[in-house]
Amino acid sequence: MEEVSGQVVKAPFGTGSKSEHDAVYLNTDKGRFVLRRPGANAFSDPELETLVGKKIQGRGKVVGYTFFLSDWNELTNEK
Amino acid sequence: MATKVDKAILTNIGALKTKYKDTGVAKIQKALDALVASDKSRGLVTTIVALDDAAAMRKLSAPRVTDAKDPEQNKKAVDGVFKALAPDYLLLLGAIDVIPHQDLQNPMYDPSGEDLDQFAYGDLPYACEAPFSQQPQDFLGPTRVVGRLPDLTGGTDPSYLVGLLETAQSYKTSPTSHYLDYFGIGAEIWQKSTSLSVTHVFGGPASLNTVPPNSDKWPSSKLSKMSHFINCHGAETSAQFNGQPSSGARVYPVALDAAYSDGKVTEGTVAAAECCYGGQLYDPSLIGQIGICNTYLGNKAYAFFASTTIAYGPAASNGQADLICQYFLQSVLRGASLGRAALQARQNFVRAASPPDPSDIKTLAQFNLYGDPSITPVAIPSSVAEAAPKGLSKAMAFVAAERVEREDRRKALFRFGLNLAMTEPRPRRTQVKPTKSVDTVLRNRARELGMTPGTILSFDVVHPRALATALPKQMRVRKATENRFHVVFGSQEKPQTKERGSVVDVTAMIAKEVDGEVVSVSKIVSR
Repeated sequence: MEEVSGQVVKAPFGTGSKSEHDAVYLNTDKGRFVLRRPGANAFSDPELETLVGKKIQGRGKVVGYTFFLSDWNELTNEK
Repeated sequence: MATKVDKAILTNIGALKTKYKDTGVAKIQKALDALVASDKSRGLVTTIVALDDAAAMRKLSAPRVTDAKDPEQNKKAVDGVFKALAPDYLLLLGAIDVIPHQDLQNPMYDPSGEDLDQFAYGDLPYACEAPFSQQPQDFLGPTRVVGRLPDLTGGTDPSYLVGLLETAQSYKTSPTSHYLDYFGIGAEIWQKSTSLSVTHVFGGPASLNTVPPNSDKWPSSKLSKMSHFINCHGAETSAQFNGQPSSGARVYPVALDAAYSDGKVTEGTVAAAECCYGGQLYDPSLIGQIGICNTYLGNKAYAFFASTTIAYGPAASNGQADLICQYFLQSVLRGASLGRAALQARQNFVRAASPPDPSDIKTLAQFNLYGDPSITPVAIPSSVAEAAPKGLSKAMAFVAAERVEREDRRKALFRFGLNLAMTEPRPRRTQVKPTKSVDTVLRNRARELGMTPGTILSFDVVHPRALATALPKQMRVRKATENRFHVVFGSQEKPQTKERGSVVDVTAMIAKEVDGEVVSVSKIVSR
């Protein structure tokens, strides 16, 4: 289990490819990860959509460029 | 009696023991022995080579593998075995934690978010004479028949792999009609492209189903067809493929689900999947579900031909993934073994793409055959036995004659592969940016195609020296930099609609530059 925190954003993924979609990303100090929940639709996950724009601390597993999120909590945005 | 090895099964016993312990490996060994015996009854001389066995590899004058995860060691070991035995079939036994895919650098890689695959993993280099390299451009001339029977990555129960070996051992050929009756699934947004593909392979789009309006709950009457053609979205480490409406709305209903399909796929199924990551051999423990590729094979499918990484293709025509999948299935339907079909698909793809652009190179590198390459699913009537010498039984005469025929086919494919390797021009990524005038044209053409141009990747087209000197003067390229490819990534704003909201469609444009002029552009649209 790894802990990663950062800003959740939505941005294009896989331009011109067969997996092109607007993905939910986590921008972190270690780089940008595609956010996914195990078992959820890889292309549109309403649960993750609600996190867009928020800062979170996530727990899960990093696989390549994907962070499989099993649990998270929202962080208060710094003023 | 000829002693030449027809089929070499390559594995790594140490890696298998790490996963399955001695008792598990003993079960796998028993299933392998049965496969070797079955192959013998079909007229194939099969041998098993452990790439990590020092004595066995020494006997073949081949370097052994000391680190199962090392792609370079594995490439050199496979090359050594092939050089020693020249088998008609190379079967890689095990998933990527037994024999790794080669980690070829992805020419489309763009860490800014357009194509996040640093590597286009695959087995292509194992099928080529070219020595180890991470440049996929070095492997444009495949010559060898290669397939992989993957166990579960990270697996601990040998029964899955034993099951795959039993399927290979007991396989049966069927009439062409069984494989012409196909099951097609396509994302609705790519209906035109998929219709073309299935028409080219099967003669018509009547059995093509799109998602939406369909869902992934396919009736057994469809899932049980023996040919599957799938053109959907796919994601990294996912057990599902996804559709998308023709409106372009950003909704992705599930089109095929591994868990739902389990138990419904028929023995002997041959599937080609264009989807991104359709052939990724991920560790199922990561998401608690084995992938679609492994599910099909576990259900006794004979073959799954698919991509390890992000795949490309146009929306309304055919290119890249569409073509390589079509070529594979077309060869299978003409009676080729699975491995020959995969080799011919690769060779025909290189020939058709010439000169291949960076997305073509990635396509070639990422598609793999999962299945025993010696399986021949479709029975084509043969007159070979009727011309056999007297004194041999009809069955023996057929086997002997077929062996000679196969050797001739292999030599022809080898020559063709070598020819491709020696003559095909190849794109090489360059940090030299387009000239100001070309940059302006690229951005203008992208805008004309409705795109907002973003990152541009540039590639020189390098012509092999031997070809350059053989060509007539007027056909020669005077400088290596005269021909270039440019990949323009971009986004396209679509008008806001009630159901879609504000949608951003993203596309890529591939442009060809000759003598400083942009002479053609093609658009790889959203899949």
